[in-house]
Amino acid sequence: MSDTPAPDLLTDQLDEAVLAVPGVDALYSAAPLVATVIASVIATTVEAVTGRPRVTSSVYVAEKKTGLEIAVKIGVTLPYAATDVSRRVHDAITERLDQTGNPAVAEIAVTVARID
Amino acid sequence: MISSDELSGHTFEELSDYLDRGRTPADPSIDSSPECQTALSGMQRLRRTHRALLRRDVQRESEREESWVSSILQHINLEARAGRDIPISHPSPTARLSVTEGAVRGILRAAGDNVPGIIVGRCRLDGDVANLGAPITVRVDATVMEGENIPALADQLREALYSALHQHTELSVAAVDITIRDLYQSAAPRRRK
Repeated sequence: MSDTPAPDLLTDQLDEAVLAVPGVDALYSAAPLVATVIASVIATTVEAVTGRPRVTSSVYVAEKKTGLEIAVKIGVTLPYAATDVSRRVHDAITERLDQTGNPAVAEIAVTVARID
Repeated sequence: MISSDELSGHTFEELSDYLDRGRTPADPSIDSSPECQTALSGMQRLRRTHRALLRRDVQRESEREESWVSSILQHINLEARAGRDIPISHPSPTARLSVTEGAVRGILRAAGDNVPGIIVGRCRLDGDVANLGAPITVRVDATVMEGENIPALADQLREALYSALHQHTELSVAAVDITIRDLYQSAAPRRRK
């Protein structure tokens, strides 16, 4: 891996890339439960200290030995097809990773959690 | 209500109250939950249909027994749960794409609710949905409005369900079984005394 942005910056960039895909109308937290609880505690602490809500990224990125594991959970708006949108989201993530140093990737998981 | 009846920590009553309040003040724990959003969409569609039916019945000076509405709302709540992951293919070996069973049930319910004269009650996906290519059967229970042609409506509903499944999934649909469980009868006009 080379020139990989810091995780916070990378997740923010991936959030932006995913939300730019036509048909994506919501981005839900894809973090596992434990990570969500920790993030919630951090957000609460930051809010208490700064008085401002902390904006947390929704795309989950974990660095594993085999490469990055990325998870994203989206809502799809009609008339877009969930199949097409999920593939485009995957491809948008790949493209953004290419632009940020092309880190090794172990898995990109895209889950369509709502269609409306 | 026990916790297993909750969606992302919210009871059915809480979601109903949230709709009543026009989703204000905004509750991030509801707004950020896809399961709650799917349930709210279904509840909202049912409310619209129910209001239209009530208006029609009120004009006929009658009252409506509401247990069937409660039953449908329960199904909406249960079926909004994420459930199993239904895979979506992609040529990349590192891609793992899926749509949740809850999202698919939600879109099937929406497709059914768009067929005039029919209200979807229960919606189930039977079979190994997590295995791409495995045959699955969709089973839907529905209520039909009095006076409608049931076979024709069932055909329309089946077509709408196939279309939604084909658009949003790669499921291998072996059959769509539709059971009309209820007939929504407007109460007869009261006799003049």
